[in-house]
Amino acid sequence: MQIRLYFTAAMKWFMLSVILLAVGCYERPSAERLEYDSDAVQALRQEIKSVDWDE
Amino acid sequence: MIGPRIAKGCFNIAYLRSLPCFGNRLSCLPAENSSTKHTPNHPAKRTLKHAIAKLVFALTALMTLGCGETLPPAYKLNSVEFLRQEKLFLGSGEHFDDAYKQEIGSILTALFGTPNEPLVPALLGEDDPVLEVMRPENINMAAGPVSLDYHGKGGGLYRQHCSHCHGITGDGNGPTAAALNPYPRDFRLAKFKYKSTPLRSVPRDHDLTKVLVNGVPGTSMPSFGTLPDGEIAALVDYVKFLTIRGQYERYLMAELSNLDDGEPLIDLKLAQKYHQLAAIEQPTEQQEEELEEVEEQHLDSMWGVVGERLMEDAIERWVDADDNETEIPEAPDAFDSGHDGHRDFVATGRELFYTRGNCAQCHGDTGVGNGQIESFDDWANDWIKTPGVNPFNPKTYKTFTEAGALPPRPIKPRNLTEGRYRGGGQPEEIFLRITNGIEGTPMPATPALTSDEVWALVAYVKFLPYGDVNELPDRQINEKAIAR
Amino acid sequence: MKFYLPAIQQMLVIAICGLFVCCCATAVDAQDGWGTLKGQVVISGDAPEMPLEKVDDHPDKSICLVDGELPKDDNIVVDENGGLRDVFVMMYVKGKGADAPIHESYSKDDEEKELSIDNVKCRFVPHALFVQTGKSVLLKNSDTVGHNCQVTTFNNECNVNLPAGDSVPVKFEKSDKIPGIVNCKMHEWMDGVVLIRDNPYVAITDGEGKFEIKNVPAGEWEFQFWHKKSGYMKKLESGTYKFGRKGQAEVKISNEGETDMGQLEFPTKAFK
Repeated sequence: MQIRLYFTAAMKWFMLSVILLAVGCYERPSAERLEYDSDAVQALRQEIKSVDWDE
Repeated sequence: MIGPRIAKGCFNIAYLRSLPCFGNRLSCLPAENSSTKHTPNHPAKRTLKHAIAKLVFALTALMTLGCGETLPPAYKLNSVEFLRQEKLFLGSGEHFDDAYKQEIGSILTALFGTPNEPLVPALLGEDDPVLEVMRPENINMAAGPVSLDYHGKGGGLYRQHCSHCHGITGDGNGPTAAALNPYPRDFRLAKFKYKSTPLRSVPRDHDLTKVLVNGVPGTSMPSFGTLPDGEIAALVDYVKFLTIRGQYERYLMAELSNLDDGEPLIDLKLAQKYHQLAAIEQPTEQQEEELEEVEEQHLDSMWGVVGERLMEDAIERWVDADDNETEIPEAPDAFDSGHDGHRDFVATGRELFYTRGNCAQCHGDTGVGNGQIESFDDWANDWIKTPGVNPFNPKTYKTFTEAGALPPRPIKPRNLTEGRYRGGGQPEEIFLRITNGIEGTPMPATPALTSDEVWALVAYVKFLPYGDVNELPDRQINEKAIAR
Repeated sequence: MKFYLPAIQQMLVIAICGLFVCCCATAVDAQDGWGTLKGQVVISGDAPEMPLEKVDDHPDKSICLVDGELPKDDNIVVDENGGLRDVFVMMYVKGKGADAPIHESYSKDDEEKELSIDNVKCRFVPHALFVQTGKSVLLKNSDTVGHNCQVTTFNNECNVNLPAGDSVPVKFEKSDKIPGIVNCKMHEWMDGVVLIRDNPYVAITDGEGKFEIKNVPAGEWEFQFWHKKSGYMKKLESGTYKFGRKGQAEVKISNEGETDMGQLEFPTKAFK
C-alpha cells in the first residue's frame, strides 16, 4: 500500500503555518519572572525609610 | 519592529510582514501553476480550497499573535544562582522554600523598582553618593519603554539598543544571546574585562564609555559611537544600576543558607511588632525591655540584609571608582619603533613571552592562541564548579540550562597574530591587560614583572601580527617561534 | 542646669566610654579561660577510588608526574585507618559565634608560621588552607614551569601569574562563609581549597583526619564541618554529638585543657 501525499495549496499553507508556529513559539528555557508582593514592597519601603542609615 | 518581547520569544507579526513573500498579498508561489501541475481541479473547487487554506493560515497567524504575553516587562529572577545555592548547601532533592523567590522579588522591587519604573536605592537621602554613581535622570532615560518626545529626546535606550542581547535584567541572556559567540555579558557578577582598574575593582565610567563607544572588536558588541554623549552616559549609569542590582540579588541568595526553616530575610512581622511597641506612650517596664530587644533584632536584620550587603558591599565599591585607576608608567625609549634598541627590546619581550611571562602556555608557542584551551570563563565557572557538574557532559548540567544558564563553552586564548584586540589596540590598553590580567578570564595579573618588562611584552605583542620573527636577534631563544 | 559639649568632645567622650566597655567586656571573657578543641574525622564504608588527574598529553606532563606516575585526584584523601584529610572545622559564626572573643594569639602576625600556597609538581601544597582576613599569603611556585594561581571564593578573588621559581604575596580582605577554590588555568586539573574568614577558630584535618583548634573561649559554641566533596557534613555520626543541616554540632569547650570530640564517622555514600 502506498500513501500519496499531494502537496496541494492547502497543504502548503498548512505546513508553512506549522513551521512558523514551531519557530515563533519556541521558547528557550529561561529564568523565572521575578514575582513580588505589592503589599510587601510597600511595607519594605516603609521599613527601609524608617531606619536611620546615616549611623 | 521595536517590540522588545522579552518575556516570550514569540513570533512578531511585523517581522512576518517584512518578509517579501508575505508582504505581497500573502502569496509565495504562483498557485495556478502548482495546482494545474498536480491536481487538475475544477476552478470552483480550487477557490474553495484556497479559501480554506487562507482561513487555516489566518487562524494560525492569530494563534501566533495570541502567544504573546500582555504582562508588563519584568526583571528575571537569578534562577541559576538560586539553584546553585540549593546544590551547594542543601542535600540532593532538597529545595529552598519557594516563598524566598517572592521575598527576594519584593526586596529587590522595593529597592530597585521595575523595568518600567526603576528606582535608585538612595538610602541616605539626597546626599547619598549612590546618586552620583547612577543619576536618577540617567536611569529614567535608559530604562522604560522605547519612546521619543517632541524634542527628539529618546527614552528606553537600554531596551532599544541593549536588551535583545544583554536581556532586560542584564543577565546576558536576551533573545539573541544563545546564538552569539562569545555570549553577551551578564552584568550580575559585577565583573568587567576591559578596564583601567585592577581585578575586583569596578571599572571607571571612562572604561564603560569606551566599550560603548568603540564596541568590542571580534565580538558581537557593536560600537554605539553615533549616540549622543548624554545617551551613552545614561546607558553607562544603567549598566551600573543593573550590575549593582544583580550583585545584590546574588548576595541575598547567599543569605538563604544562613536562615532557619521558614525564617524570612526581613521579618516584617517583627518590624510591625517593633512599631507597635514603640507607639505605646507610657510603656511598662516589661514593655520597655521587650521594645529594646525587638528593636535590636529588627535593626540587626535590616542592617544585615540591606545596610551591609547593599550599601557596603554592592554600592560602596562604585563610589570613587576613579581612585583605583592603574597608573601606566611611561614606556622606555626603546619601545619606539624608530629607536636603535627597538629590535633588542622586542627580543626581550619574546624571551619573556616564553619564560617568566608564561604567555606561550595559553597563547601558544606561535601566539595563535592554541595553548591551554580547556578553560572556562568565570561566568561559566560560577556554576559549573558546583559539585556534580561536568561542563563537557550536558546531562550533568541539565537543571542549570533549564534554569536559564547558557551551555558553557571553553574560552579561547586570544590569537595574537590577528592584530585585533578586544579591549583596544593602543599600547596603553595592552599594558593594562598584561599588568592587571583580564577579569573573569584565565588571563592572570603579572605582579612578578616590572613595568619595563611588561612594556617589552607589549612591544612583542604589537610586533607579532606584522613583524618577521626571523629578523629578531638572538634566534636560539626559542626556535618554536620561528616555526611560525 | 544644662551644659553642652562641642561635637568633637562629645565624640571623644563616647569613644572613651566605648573603649572602656570593650576593655571590660574582653577582660570578663578572658577570665572564663580558653580551651582546646580536638577530634578526628574518619570515613565509614569503602574509601572512594579516586580517578587519575586529567593530565592527558599536556606539554608539561613530564614535570607534573609524581614519582614517575600520573597523580590521583586529591580531593578526597583517606589514610589506611580511614582518617579523612582536608575537612574544615569552623566555628559557626551565625548568632552567638559572631561575637566570640578572639584570643590574642590570633591577632599577632606570626612570622614563623607564614602562610603559603606552593605549586609543587602541579599540585597545590597544601591542598587546603585557612587564611584569616588581612593576613598575607605567599603564592609560591617551586616548579620549573610557570603557573598561575587563581583564588575564587564568594567574596574574594585573585589571579596572579607565577613564573617558575617566583613568589608573590597576596592579601584578602573580605570574610567568607564557606571555602572557595584555588585553580591554575594552565593546568586545569590543579584544584585546591581555601577558606578566608575573619573568625580564626578554624582547623583543617591532617593526613590522619585529626584536627585541633587552640585557644577557643570556654563555653558552648557550635562548630561546622565542611568538605569540598560533600559540602556541610550533616551526615557525620558520633555517639555524643548531633549534627545539624549546616554540618554544625554544639560543643562545650571546657575551661582547662582539651575538649576531645573523639572519632566522628562520615559515611562515604554522602560524598557528592
